[in-house]
Amino acid sequence: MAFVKKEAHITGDLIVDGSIEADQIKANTITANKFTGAVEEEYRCFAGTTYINPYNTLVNVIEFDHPATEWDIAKGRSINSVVNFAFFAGTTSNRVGNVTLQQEIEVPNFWNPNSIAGATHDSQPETYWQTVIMDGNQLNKFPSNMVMSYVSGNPTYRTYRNLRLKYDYEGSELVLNGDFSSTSNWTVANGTFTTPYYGTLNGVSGSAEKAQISQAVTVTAGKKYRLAYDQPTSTPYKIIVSTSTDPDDEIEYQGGLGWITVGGTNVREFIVDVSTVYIIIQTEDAGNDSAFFDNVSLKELQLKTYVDINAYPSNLITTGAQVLYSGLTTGATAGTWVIAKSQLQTISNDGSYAKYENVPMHTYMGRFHRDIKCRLRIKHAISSISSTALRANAVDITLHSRIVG
Amino acid sequence: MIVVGYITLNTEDNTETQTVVGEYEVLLEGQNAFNEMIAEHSDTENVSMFFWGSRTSPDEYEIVAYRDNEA
Repeated sequence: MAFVKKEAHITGDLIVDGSIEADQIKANTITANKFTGAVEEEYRCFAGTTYINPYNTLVNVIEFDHPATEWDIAKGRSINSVVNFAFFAGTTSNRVGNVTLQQEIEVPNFWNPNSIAGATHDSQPETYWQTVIMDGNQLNKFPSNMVMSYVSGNPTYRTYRNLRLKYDYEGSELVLNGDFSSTSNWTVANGTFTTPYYGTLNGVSGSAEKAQISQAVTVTAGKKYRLAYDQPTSTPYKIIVSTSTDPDDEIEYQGGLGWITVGGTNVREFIVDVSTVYIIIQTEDAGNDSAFFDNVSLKELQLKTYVDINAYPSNLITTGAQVLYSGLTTGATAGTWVIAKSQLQTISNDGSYAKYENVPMHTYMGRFHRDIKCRLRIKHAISSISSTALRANAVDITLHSRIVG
Repeated sequence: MIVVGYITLNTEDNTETQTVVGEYEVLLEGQNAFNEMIAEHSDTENVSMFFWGSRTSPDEYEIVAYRDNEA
């Protein structure tokens, strides 16, 4: 009988960071929604010597295109430049002042704003600033300069700050009657359970079992949860997260141990791999033992992106979940040059005739696929120097596009 | 709030003066005003560039884009 091997199946995502090789692939057997090109593309530009002159006047160092991505796949796009400044002061007297590096992009004739995510209002950290929250990790969709949303159908562009990711946003409460205002929602075994003020569990004298109460809670496999519970007296108790009412089926984490409480509030975090868990509270010992407990809480911990958006004259996000877009073009008309990133650097000759200094600048433009025209401009505000004193030498620019989440 | 205006360059000391022409809440009105300003002030003496700004408070605005005066 011929050897038969069943096809291997993969359910879920297969991520290959490299290539797939095979001795033979049967014709017309591979189908896919799309085949992607390079995960990462990198190109470079280079400018020779540019005199930064006259005083307080932007000088074009180099104009270039950031090329469209391979296969028009939306990728995170960035421009990394390093300018080697040569400062020939011509004197040992101090010459010092600021230099402005400006990475600009030209607004194209046609541009569809790229959506970031649905955002909701969180708080007002200070006057004219609004903190908004988005589900998941949206960091790589924000360009360096602005965001946009529609206010009453009008595209409204705003500056932003404090873009950050947090993994401790608490979802809604999943435990019912966790403050033990009554005995409802809890199933008691091997003892007596009384309330209020806090929950009290008394075991049976001579029994080989520990007294316990339990409650089934619906959860989502793969998600992270925070369990909080108080020990209101000096008497510790045991709390167990189990896949059944049996403490022996406790979920496995950190050695699969149930937790003995300490006085005050206790907090534990864990990831579940089931759809229902049982919160079990037990006396520490079998027989005539007692447990006192309060404020048992279980909440899903969610990954959220936070950002503070300028709120002048009013909040950008006004109703429920509102879509936030990349504001890379600032809303300016085609042909206008957008300041994607501006950076100040103090340059000094430090008492020398000549001084050299490397100044890096990183500009991130968000996630999109199309080509875009860019230029690097520099100006100086250093008094009493000659027209050839300040030079941008050997300007290296790396254009980066990478598939990002 | 969109702020449109132009920058005048003093050719003697290369200092700049910003002049705000108008402020707009509606994007389309701001874009029209920007283009009209360029048509009107391209030949105005010492205007070096036209700016597109975003007001961040009653007292401050930030220039976020600009166009050189090529006239």
